[in-house]
Amino acid sequence: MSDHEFGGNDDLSLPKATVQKIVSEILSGSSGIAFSKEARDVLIECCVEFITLISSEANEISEKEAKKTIACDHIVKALDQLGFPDYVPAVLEAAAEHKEVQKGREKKANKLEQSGLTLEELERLQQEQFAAAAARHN
Amino acid sequence: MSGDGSYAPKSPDLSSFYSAGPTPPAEPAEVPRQQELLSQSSHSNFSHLQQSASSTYSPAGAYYQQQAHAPQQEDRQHYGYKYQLATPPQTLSQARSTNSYPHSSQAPPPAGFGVGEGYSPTAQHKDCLPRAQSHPGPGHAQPGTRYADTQAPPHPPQSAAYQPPYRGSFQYQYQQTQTAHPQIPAPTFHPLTAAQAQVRESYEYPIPSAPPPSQQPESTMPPRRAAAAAAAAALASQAAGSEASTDASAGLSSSSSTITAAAAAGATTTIEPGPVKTKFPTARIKRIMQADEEVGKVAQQTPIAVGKALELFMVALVTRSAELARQRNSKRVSAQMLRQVVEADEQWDFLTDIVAKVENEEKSGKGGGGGSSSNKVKAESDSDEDGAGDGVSGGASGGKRKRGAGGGRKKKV
Repeated sequence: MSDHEFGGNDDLSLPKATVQKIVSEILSGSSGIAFSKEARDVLIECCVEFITLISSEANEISEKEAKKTIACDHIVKALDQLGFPDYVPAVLEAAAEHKEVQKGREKKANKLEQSGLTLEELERLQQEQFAAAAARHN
Repeated sequence: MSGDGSYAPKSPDLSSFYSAGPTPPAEPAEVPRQQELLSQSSHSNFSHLQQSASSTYSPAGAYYQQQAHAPQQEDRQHYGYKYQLATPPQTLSQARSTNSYPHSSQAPPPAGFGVGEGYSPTAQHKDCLPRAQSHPGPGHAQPGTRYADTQAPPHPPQSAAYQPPYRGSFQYQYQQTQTAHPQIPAPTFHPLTAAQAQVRESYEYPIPSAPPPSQQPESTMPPRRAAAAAAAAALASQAAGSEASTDASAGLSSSSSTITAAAAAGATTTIEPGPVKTKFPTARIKRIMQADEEVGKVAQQTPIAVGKALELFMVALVTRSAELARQRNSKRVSAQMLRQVVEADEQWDFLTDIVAKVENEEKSGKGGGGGSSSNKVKAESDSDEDGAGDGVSGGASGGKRKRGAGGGRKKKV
């Protein structure tokens, strides 16, 4: 949607620092084991491959359902079909969580209604503040 | 207190409990009755009863938790525990180690078992069967274990347990105080005992005279109890507050538990994945998804779902390769280990091509020098990125090429 798709230089791999961070988070429980750089790079490639695999499978599924947009549901089905049914519950959970967060955001965004003032009142308030600021400045 | 110390070694009926362990939980309502049964049947004094009762209870709790947490466990199991779960006898201990802090309350029972085993398995067997059936009652066990975390501190150490009339009702509390404290001195301690108990379970059946190693700490605990309880309070509040912390401790504890399990029973080492807080950038994920020209619109939530799946995927891959590294006494996960992990599981056969390609270079790089291999790997990924970044067709073809080579599992190109 809002992202500039295939914009010039940005690479289609995952940010190394992020991957490294996640890896060390995963390994935080097992003290002392680290990931070599080569392994991390391979891991990144594997991750990209994983995304590609999932998304193309999901794309196929969505096409079969005559949908133009790949939805969460398709990802879930793709995971199921590709031998990762274990991931499904967590994925659903994450999606639901995200939905909740979105809802919260929408509520927050609606400041106008929360203020309880009419547009005229707000405008007047703004003008007052402008005037006050100008007076202070001069 | 002194009674506590003396009774612990004698308590007889724990062996029975083990036989009970595997049996499915019966009616929860029977738990109190169960205890009565216990008191009637056991020929020894009360202290025995208490010991046994508490020990018998906790397994119920463990069992219950295993069930109760099943969904959560599922999530975690996927990445971490496949090995463990594969071996049926270990599931109980595994379950304990997974849910870090509820299990802390289960730590003591193992000690109890040991005692029971050593003592007189035959005498108790009659009693044990009914008891075994009733005690796993999930409904009862649940409150008890839950309480362990929150309520352990307020209770005066184990005094309740000693009063015969209260035994039935106070059992939980007693257990709580008793069980809460082992966690404190050494947070990683309980999984160990759990694992040991598990191991013992398998052994002890045939050999009732197995040594009860972990009971000592319990009987000697009383003086430390107050402090332990306080610490338990702090721990409990922490644990209750943030799931993440539980996860972390789970990771810590279970890794240690698995070590002992492996050492004792010869199981495979397992590494518990730590909690992953960092999220992948969704925009990037979306871009990678849409690099395939066939992929059109993507819903807003989709990259998040994919990101989560990717996270799980990474956790699985990383933990397995870390396990491999540990098995080889290596501190570092090399690309080769990653390759072996990928090749070991057909679930990941779509990666074999990538891994094989890299690995070959690694080998050739080894001939020439260690440093060049990493450069080559990087160059490889860079070129991929460039190809994809050049344009839609480039990116898509890059993706397709990889996929086709990767096994062509699902793509009808």
